[in-house]
Amino acid sequence: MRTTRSISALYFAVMLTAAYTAAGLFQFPRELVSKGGPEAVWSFLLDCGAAVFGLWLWFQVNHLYPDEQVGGFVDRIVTPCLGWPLRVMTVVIHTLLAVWVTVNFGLVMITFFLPDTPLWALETLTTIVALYMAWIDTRVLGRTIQVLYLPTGILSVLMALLLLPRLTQMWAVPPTGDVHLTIIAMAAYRSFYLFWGYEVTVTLYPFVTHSARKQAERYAYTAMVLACAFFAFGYVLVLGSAGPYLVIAAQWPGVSAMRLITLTSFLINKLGLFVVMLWSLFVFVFVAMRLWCLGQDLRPALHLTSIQSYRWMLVGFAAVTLAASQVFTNITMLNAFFNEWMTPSMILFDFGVPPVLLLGAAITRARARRAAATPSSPPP
Amino acid sequence: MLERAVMQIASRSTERATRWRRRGVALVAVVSLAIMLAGCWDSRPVDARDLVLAMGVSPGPHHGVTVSLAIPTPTGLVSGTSASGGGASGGGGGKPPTYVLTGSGPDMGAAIAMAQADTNRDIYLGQTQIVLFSHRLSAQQFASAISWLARLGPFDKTAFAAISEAPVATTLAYQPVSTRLGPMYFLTLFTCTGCQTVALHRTVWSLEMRTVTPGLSIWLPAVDAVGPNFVVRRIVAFHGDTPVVQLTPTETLAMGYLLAHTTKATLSVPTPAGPVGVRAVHASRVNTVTWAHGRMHVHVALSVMAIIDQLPVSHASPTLIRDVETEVSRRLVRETLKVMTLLQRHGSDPEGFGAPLFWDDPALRPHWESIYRQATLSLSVSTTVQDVGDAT
Repeated sequence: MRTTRSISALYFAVMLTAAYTAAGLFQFPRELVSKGGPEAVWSFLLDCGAAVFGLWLWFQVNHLYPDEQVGGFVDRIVTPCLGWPLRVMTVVIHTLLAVWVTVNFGLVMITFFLPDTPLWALETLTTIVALYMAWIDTRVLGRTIQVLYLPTGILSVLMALLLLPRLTQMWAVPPTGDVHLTIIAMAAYRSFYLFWGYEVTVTLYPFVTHSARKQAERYAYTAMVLACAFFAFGYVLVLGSAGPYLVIAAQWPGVSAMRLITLTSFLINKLGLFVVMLWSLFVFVFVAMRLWCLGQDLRPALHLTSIQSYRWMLVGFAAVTLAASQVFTNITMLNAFFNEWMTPSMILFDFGVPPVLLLGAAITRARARRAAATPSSPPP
Repeated sequence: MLERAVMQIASRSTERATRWRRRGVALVAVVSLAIMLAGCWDSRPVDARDLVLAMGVSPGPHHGVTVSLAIPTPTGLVSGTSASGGGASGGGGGKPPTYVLTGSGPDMGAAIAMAQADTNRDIYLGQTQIVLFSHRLSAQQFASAISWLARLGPFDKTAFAAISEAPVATTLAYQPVSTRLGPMYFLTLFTCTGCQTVALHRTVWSLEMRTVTPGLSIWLPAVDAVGPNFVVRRIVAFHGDTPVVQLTPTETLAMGYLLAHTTKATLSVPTPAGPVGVRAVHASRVNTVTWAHGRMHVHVALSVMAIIDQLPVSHASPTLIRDVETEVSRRLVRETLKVMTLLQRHGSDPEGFGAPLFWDDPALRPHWESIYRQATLSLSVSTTVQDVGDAT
């Protein structure tokens, strides 16, 4: 049995958006404010522009062979010598993303909600739920995401509106007139994690029905702009309510700010905490998309087509994710790894790999054209 | 025919096996999730918890801290949270509805651990309604208490904060007349901002923010346990982590205007016709902070909407209204500017005039204290009488 290879444009856009928004949900905008200072807004805009450009780059890769995954055609354009390292890099990147978000979420839960619960239990829970989400099929995963993701996102925005009366530090939001390119670039570099995970498009694109692909791209760009607006809204609320120095001092400023939302006369008076709990859905979806990607990426190269092989790979990568998560026992270790290794690796992957693939494809096609134009020598 | 039947049987058998396998996986998933989602590691029956309603922090022996925890008794909890809202004479058979646990140690965590040794239940801080700081805490003790609270994830940062000159354990044990559970008095008081003359509520979150923000000073309402209820009508302003000035009720009122926290303040304004009673309904303000000639210049523009609720004459005239508006503005300028100057002299900036300046220009941050002390302060007040009541 093969997995379904037909999802709609809307499923594509929702799955793609869900594949990146959980990455920065909890700690945004700490790095942006700490590195960018009063110029953080420019860095944020730079991040948004870079993400849209990065998405465009991956779409160009998809256009090379729209019906195939990169894992399947990479050997043809950059030779197997480079193809396999790229495949391994993809696997490592998605595994690291899953580990990062799983551990981060576990630590948020321990810090704010369940201080006596072991971290491994929370990480196991996250991995099992994500595994279950990715288990059945691509289209089912898409439907699950659509059902969970959109209402949670809309509810988050509505609840966040209750923070408006607490915006006492709005002076920190507008940027200054001074522009220091180095500071802006460094802050953008450090906070690009907001969009980590959008590279899933390269795996997901071939699953979109043929007739809907152009529409899917348009939806993906629109969804990314909406995600940028969502983050901008969060930036104003968190910075305006906490002030820049507390944003820098807090480990998870977004969670801290949401915890301020209370409605004393309502049934659930700590509404902000309720929303933070709902954000666990974003995390499950994010990790499910990583597992799905890991399950799909290597299949063409290994010539595995059955759903059983996909599921075995899911289980294998879930186990690897869980095992690797055990390395990080506290947020300080996770942040150090995040800053020193993950940030440069992700930037290299997102903006280094697509140009290499596109260049390889251009050279391959030029060679093919030259070979076709050269008259073949007559047989002896 | 036979072959087809065999195929059908084989197919059904495979489907059945698949179905059972799926059910098995679902069962395992559901059981695993049920076990994990129950949060059994953190699960404590509510009757095995000591729900702390108020926490007091005061200096302890050997430069440490003493933590006092006001905890409701089971009967106090039931009567205090009943629909009637209690009252000091409510149920409980004459026993006090709350008791206070204390513990001392070199830091907050050690002090709480000492308090934990005096009870057979789990001390739970997630329901704390107010944190009361002693006026006698040193700057280091105060800062470390805030730092400890900031790191305490399950602690609700929307808990209120206040300061007390009296020993905090005594203040926490005080039984107000209007509320059976003493600490719940503050919940009612501070959540109804329109009920107070000046809305003096402060949260632990705001303390945390002000502790780390240069140019934004801490201020706290002072709590006195005298009379039938707690008395909360004065502000204590801080310089850094040290309380430096306690404002009188009149100065607190003026500062309420400055902070736009005033809701029910009243003024008696002298006019040629006699004194006029004015209720200032709402004050909004716009701060303008500029940096020129090496000095910070602060200008506050207050807009006050007022109601006249007592007149010395039988009919109000436009001239009288204009006189009242002018006199209210003049008086508020005088009183509020006096408080601004007083706070500046003590190096306390509760309004945070300098904070935007220091954020925009990080080079100024190390010098913010001297910059604030040398700043020029000015104030303008525009008063509008909105209502003269249901009488001519």
